[in-house]
Amino acid sequence: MIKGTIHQTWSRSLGVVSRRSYHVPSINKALKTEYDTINDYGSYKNNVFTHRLPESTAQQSPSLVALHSRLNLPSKYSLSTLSQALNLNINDGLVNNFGLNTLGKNLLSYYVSEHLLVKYPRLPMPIHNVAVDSLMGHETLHEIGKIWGIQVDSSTKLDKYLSQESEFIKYGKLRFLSEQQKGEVKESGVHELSSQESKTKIDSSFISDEAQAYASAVRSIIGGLYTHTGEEATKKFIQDHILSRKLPLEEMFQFNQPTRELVRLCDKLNFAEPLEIRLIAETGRLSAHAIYVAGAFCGTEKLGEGIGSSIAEAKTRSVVNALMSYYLYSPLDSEGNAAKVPSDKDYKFEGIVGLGDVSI
Amino acid sequence: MPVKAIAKTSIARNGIGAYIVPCHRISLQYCNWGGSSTGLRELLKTGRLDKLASEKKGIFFDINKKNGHPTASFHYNNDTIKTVEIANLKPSEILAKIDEHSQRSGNDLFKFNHKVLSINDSVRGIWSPLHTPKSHRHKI
Amino acid sequence: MIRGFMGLNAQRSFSSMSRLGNAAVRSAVPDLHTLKISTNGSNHLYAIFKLHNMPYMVTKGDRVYLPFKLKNVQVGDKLKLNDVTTLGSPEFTYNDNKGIPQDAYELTASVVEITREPYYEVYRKKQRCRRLKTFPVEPFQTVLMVDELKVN
Repeated sequence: MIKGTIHQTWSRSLGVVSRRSYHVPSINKALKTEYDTINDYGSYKNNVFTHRLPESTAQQSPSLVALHSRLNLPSKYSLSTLSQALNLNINDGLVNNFGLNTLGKNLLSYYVSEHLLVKYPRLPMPIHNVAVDSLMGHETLHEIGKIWGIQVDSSTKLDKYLSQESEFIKYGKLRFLSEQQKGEVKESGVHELSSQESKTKIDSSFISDEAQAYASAVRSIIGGLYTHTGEEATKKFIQDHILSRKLPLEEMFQFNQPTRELVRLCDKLNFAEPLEIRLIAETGRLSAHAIYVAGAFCGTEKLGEGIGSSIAEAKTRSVVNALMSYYLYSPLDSEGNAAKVPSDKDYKFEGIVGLGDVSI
Repeated sequence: MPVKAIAKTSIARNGIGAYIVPCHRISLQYCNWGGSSTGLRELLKTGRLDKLASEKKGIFFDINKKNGHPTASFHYNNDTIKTVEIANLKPSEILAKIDEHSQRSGNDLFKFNHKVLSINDSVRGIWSPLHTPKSHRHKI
Repeated sequence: MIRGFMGLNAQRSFSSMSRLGNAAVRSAVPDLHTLKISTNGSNHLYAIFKLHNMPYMVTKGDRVYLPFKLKNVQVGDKLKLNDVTTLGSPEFTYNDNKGIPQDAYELTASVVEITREPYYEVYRKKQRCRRLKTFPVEPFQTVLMVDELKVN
């Protein structure tokens, strides 16, 4: 019995040890990097031979041309860049999207966080992080990639030869699978995790390689737009495709001790009067389905109101409503429009800066 | 931590800001011999299909030659493929079919018995009898 | 000639409402500042617009299901809805049954889908005929997405 317990703790501690959550830098062997000394970063040079897809070849890919016009990209945006944005393979001799992905990611995170910080300046940090993920996380970008009609190049060279598919079609498809992965026979309903996927596994969910690839392609397309047309067009594109999505912020809050939090918040805001929760109305305690309306008050100011089928429920709802209306406040300018973001033309600071989170 | 966050993905609203055509690919299949493909063959011969494809630039058209009745498959961005029989149809009828199905979203057809479908909260909120002044409330 | 909207696309323009003598166009733009302030930056704003004299109450991001095929439009077109009778916030409502002047607000919708309702059959019985007549029905449906709604 003792042995059994020891065994259990061992395996548990092993499980913790073997999970590495931090990033370990390592040189990608496929890039054939050479350097004089390992500390001399200037001497790092990749010897892998890559070339850009010629524009004339890219023009012959119907899937690529269709994607270009479906996204309504400007004619300045070359098809070869678009094709590059869809390429994640390192070894196929074509330039991959590594740089474009990084560029796109930075642009996205700038415009998304700018939007959130100006529109919801009082959002608590955990909610803000989740909201950023909600707009530009891999899951969302995967969905966006699907909506854009990006297809995965999943057929092998042999399949392509047998079906007499034009070789150009693959340039308009998302290329992240190696020739070996494409050839693997898939059992329906069973998915074997790749090494990358098993690293991201938490409980029963994981980030699939496909989702990562789609997200990377979407970011790279944004990065490519920036390289060809500059900031203004990229901002418009991000607003149209990413920030236009509906953000379910009200569903993202999970309060543990809402009343205590509201009390702390009132302290922080230096409200003169103490927080009080008062019963506003009720249908009657002996009615068939009693309903209570409670309000969170600070002196004569009503901070929030809630309806519940018991007094406790009504109280909690009123407090949660008060907290939500504080956290989800968005500032307006003097005209009554939403406050401008710093990247807008003739920006003047008219919003507010949040006071930071409260601690319980 | 005072407040915990629940992860949610944002909801796509195609048509706000940018609009992406849900139909991204149309595959047409015809037979070089059968009589039921006459309409499609004529479309291909006269170049009217080229004209249609150049009008619908966002859609990738592919044409396959295969024995049997001709079909048109519409690939939508929600991973559905809708196959439509176009056997024995006149060229204009085939064009109408392509035009109609390329403007759909790929979702199942459904009858919506209301006028407006909204995912926003109501602006005015829900009427509550408990918010009228006490003297005006309904007494049992 | 459709009463209630005009196309925004440059290459395909539609009939404008102003020619029909909309009283609202002639009258002065009302001062909607109080309404605007109470809409929280047009976040809490609804409008009632009319299309073929049928009212539709919408907020931004709503889908409007029209039980017919809107003439001369294609998927992706943007429409300017120019027959708005009511604008409202949680606190205030501005109503003008003759139509609010177009400069006072901005309401556009994009055509998102042109599809059909599910197939069904309608039976008709004629007098002194024992058989039912069967009519196949699959009516058109146009879906609009309210793209922009704000008080100017």
